[in-house]
Amino acid sequence: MRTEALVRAMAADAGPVRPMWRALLAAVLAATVAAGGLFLLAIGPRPDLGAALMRPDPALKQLFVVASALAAFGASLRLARPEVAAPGGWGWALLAAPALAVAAFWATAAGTPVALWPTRVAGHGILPCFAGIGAIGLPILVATLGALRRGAPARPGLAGAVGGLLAGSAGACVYALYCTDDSPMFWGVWYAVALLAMTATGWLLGRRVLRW
Amino acid sequence: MGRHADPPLEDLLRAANRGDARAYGAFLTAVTPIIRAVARARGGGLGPETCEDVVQETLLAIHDKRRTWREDAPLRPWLFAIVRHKVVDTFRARGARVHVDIDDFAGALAAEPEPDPTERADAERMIARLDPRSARIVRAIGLDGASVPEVGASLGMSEGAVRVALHRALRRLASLRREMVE
Repeated sequence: MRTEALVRAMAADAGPVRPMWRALLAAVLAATVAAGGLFLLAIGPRPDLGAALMRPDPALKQLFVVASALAAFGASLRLARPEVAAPGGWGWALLAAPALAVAAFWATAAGTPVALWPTRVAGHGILPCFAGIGAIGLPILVATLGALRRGAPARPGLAGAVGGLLAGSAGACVYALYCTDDSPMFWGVWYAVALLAMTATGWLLGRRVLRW
Repeated sequence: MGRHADPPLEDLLRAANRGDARAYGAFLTAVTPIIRAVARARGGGLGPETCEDVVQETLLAIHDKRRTWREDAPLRPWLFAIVRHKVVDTFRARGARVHVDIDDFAGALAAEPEPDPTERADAERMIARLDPRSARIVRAIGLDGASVPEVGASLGMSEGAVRVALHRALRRLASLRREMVE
């Protein structure tokens, strides 16, 4: 087939295209509502949710995961473009959540006797934290990678990693509504570890499935 | 040459992404010689027919990825990134290592359009692997220049059904090419 013929066929297939941001937003929201909704229906949010979010530590925890999700959304959208090899300004935005976690961790640690540090860091449930963020985050990761596949990332691994952070953060936004381990010495460590694990998973999968 | 009087590529792709088929055809026609010049500059040793395969594969990638161009971003860096990626990738898949740099595009923009080589056996083989109805649709629109309503009338399908089938056929062609070279 001559190239002009192919061009004619492609032109006949013209149609309004859905912009990437809308495809990614729809995928992440739908998966978060589905997976997170199922989790909350099965286990339920913490009983004191409304009152807890008025206290600084739970509010900071929620802010940490929301900030991480927003920055990861912007960065993965940017990295889905073929001419872009670095997150640019979104790279700085990605640092906001870790900076918040480190600051909250040290502020809390400074006011806590050293003998109590291990108890605070251990909290009540490290394993439930991993299992919860993973269980909600992995379906969201599938949806995120599905949306990013419609993009054209110059660096599939990097785009997948940030997509993993996005999915993990969205999952953690829901999990934090249930989790009662509010000390920054807990979530500053274990939420961060869970998000790093999701980032690594996204990187491994992205290298394979986001190639085009 | 009328090239400078033509609407900028940005305007064409913007209109195309909003559903303007005529603008999209003009956009693809305008970028084809650029892609061909880059492919020939880099892989000319493999013969014009292999180069034309690379051109077609790159066009299919542009088709599949056109949503990733942001209307407020300059078009050329986006276009060149896709062309460079696909040219390097498809030559590599055929066992040739090529390197494309920005100077190739300067040359491509200045070059006179080169003619399309004769019928490609590869693409024809690929179309033959589509289901018969999709193959008929692609041939009717591509080779005979039929319109979507005409194809619909001759196959007893609605316009919408022809559009969906064409869309799927093009995506399938792109993935058949990937399978073939991998």
